[in-house]
Amino acid sequence: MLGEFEEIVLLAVGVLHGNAYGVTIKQEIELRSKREISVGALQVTLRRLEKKGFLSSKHAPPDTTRGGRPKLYFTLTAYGKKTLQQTLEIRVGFWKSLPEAILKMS
Amino acid sequence: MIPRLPLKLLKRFCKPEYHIDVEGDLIEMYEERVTMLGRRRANFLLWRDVILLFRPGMIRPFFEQHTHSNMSVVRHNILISFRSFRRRKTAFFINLGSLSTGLTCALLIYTWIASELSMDKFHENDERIFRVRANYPSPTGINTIDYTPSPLAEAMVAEVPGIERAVSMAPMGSGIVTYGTKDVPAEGFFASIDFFRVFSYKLLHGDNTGLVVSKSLATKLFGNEIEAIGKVVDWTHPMRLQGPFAISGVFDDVPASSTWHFDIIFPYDKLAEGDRYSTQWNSSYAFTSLLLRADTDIEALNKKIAGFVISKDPGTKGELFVSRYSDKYLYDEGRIAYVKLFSLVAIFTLAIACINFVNLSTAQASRKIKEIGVKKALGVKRSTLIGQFLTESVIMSCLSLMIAAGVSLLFLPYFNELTGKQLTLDLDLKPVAFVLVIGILAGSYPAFFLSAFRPAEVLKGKLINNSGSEVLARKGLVILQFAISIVFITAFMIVNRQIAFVQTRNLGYSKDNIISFFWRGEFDAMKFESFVQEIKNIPGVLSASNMGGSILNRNYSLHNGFTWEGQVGNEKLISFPSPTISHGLIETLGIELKEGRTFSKDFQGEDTKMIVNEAAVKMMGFTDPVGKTVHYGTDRKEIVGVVKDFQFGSLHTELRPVFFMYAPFRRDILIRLEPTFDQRTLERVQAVYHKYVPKYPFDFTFVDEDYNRLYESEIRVSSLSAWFAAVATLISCIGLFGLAVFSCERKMKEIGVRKVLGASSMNIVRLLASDIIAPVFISILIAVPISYFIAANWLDGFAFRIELSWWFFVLSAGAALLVTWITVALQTYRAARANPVNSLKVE
Repeated sequence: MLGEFEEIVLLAVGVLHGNAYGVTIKQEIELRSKREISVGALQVTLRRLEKKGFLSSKHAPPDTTRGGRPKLYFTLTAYGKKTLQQTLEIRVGFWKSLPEAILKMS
Repeated sequence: MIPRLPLKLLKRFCKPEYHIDVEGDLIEMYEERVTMLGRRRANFLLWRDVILLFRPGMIRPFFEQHTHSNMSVVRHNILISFRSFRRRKTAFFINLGSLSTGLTCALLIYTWIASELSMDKFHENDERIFRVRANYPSPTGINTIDYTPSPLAEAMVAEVPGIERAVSMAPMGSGIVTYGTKDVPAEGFFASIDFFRVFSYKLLHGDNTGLVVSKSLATKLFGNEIEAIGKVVDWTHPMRLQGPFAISGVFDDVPASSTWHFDIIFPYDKLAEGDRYSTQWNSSYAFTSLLLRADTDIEALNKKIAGFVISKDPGTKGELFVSRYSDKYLYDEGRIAYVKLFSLVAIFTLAIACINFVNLSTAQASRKIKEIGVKKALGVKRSTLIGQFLTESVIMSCLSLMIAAGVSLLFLPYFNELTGKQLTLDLDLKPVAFVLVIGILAGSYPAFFLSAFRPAEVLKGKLINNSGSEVLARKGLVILQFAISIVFITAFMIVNRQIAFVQTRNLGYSKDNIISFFWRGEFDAMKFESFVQEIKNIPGVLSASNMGGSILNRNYSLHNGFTWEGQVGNEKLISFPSPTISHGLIETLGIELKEGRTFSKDFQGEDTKMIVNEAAVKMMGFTDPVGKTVHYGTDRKEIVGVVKDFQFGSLHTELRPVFFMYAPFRRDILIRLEPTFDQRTLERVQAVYHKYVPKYPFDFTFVDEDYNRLYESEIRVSSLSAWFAAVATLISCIGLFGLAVFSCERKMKEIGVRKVLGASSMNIVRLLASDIIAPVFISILIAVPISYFIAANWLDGFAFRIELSWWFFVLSAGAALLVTWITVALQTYRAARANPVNSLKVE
């Protein structure tokens, strides 16, 4: 089962589709969720997800930008995609069985 | 600029494997923030990010986990090795001494062999370059000639498939290049147009349609190489080609590893201009080289071209075949034999040194045994122990290599003089890797042997008695060592005796105090006559004359086609040395006249006369030779004199019939000086020479030195074998000395008891020494037949040779015995003299 932040990070990587590295992921999440996240939290989560097998990473060849430091690109693994799918289904299942009356704002 | 401190901080705590891309992200964000939010804000945010990165998951572990590595074991082994070197200094120095001596030998030989093998190998297409040679049948066997007809190259490319390009070449000899007032002597060469495409001599500028000169020649003539192109120079050559030529290109100087050496290349066509025979199919002017296609089958090609020249001119007899171009240097003059010989010598010397190492290590096993026992009891694996011993021997061999490299460097100038080469020592990977292998090989036997002891027995104090087979192995190795040494010593003595024999043998003429040189300028017989007159007026000059070729080079003046009355065999087809000489030559050389007279300018028609030697008279079967007629081709020649037999050329060849023919215009000049001549005499001769030949340098040689040069490779082997015999014996003795030291130490108690019971020092020396010297006797038995076989084989190469008498072998065996006896006696005598109280008191 994914944590909430983990899920968002995975989704962000998926959305960026091939252009997902530290900075872009952070921007994407901040843009969509309207909240600021720290580099530390993001990095730790990314590495954890990678270790669990949801993400894979690859160094791009270094160029002259960013002080010559290479970017580390992340991509969703098949297992990552499947887990996202499962999470979605569980949520949808909940939503479906939620009585409509509850959602009505009184 | 981005603040350094936070990034440094990050580097400090961040896991190294995450650090680089996180830092990259931070830098990228910082740069963006600077433009969006300003520097102060960006700095603050950077600090915040870094601090927030300080969290579990990002921080590197405080205590680095040691992954189990072999490094510490290796470090430990090295430490232990050095400690054991320090503790056992004698063994250490004996090993170091013998191994580095052996390696020095091997290293020097290696550089020599490497340089021999690299001759002519610098051509990029080396594997595809072949030369065409021709086999001519003759009654005495097959003569192989390296030169082929000039049109061959072009015809072969056109008609024989599988040949990409072909080049005709011919060495030309030295001439003089003149530009303005500058005269520069240069070595000339003819080569056809594809020369630079087949061979890897580098064409630097221009092309080779005209004259091509070397970089250094161009610099000498014009100051720099580019200036040369288009310039017209004058070429003066005594025989071939003269006149003005335009330079069309410059090539890089010929490397030392090339067998051809030239400074100036003429288009091959120029050869034909001066010599109309040179373009015919029945002449042999060109050294033809082929660049074959990669897939050409050599066997098939040889079959195809065998009759090539014969098909062009049925009057010729040469059967063509190809052989590798780069084999020319090693195989044509038998240099490969020396390469093989010295490779063997190097291997044997190294083997002797390695045997020392093995013997000493196993002999002192008893001293190491406690250490091994304790280690084993503490649970050290056998493989670890083996590793330790191997480390020790590898360190030892590396140390020896360093010493050997230093010593070789020291000896290199002397070695260069011996070998007549300009060798440099470059230690590339090969010798270093080789030394490591040697270290491991030498170390492996002791390593496996020592690590096999059972700790329980060792620690209980059970004495390690060397097992029978192990002692036998050690003795076997000593036998091998000394057998090799004795073979070397015998070889040295025999080669030396033969060289002395060759140098002092009466040749039938007197080779001392004669200088010879080649007259390179304009020449005619009249001019030479007045030259001789002037030379003779110099005090210290006895006589002078001229001939074609040299008394030392039999092959120069070989001709066939001699017939005479009553000839029965096929001598007409055999080539005999038949030099053309002028009057006064026989007297100048000091060849003894037996009957008749020598050539003289007082007689007319000397060119229809002939002088022969005794061997020729015997062959022709004349009882009264003077006045008889010999036909040479279509010429009739009357024998006017008979000389005693003399040695024409080196003593490798037999005495053969010689036919002297008269020609007063040959350019090889011989001048006999009085035995008391000095530098002033030579200077005067030179002055007269320059009066007649102003341009060319006066480079003369002494005939006796030239004679010794005929045996250059033998003399080289002789002086080298002296060194190798000394080194091999030295190393073997060092080893024996080591064995004596340890055997004395082991038997200290025994010696003490014996002395107390009344044994004399001599008794004890005999007791100790006999054990060590016995193997030397066996090695003599082995070495004598081997060295006899080798020596007999080598001496077969000489027509005149010393007899192999028994005392050579007795002497070398005696020498080996004497040296070993002295070595061992020195050590054992010291042990025998020691006060027995000292050895018995200790417990």
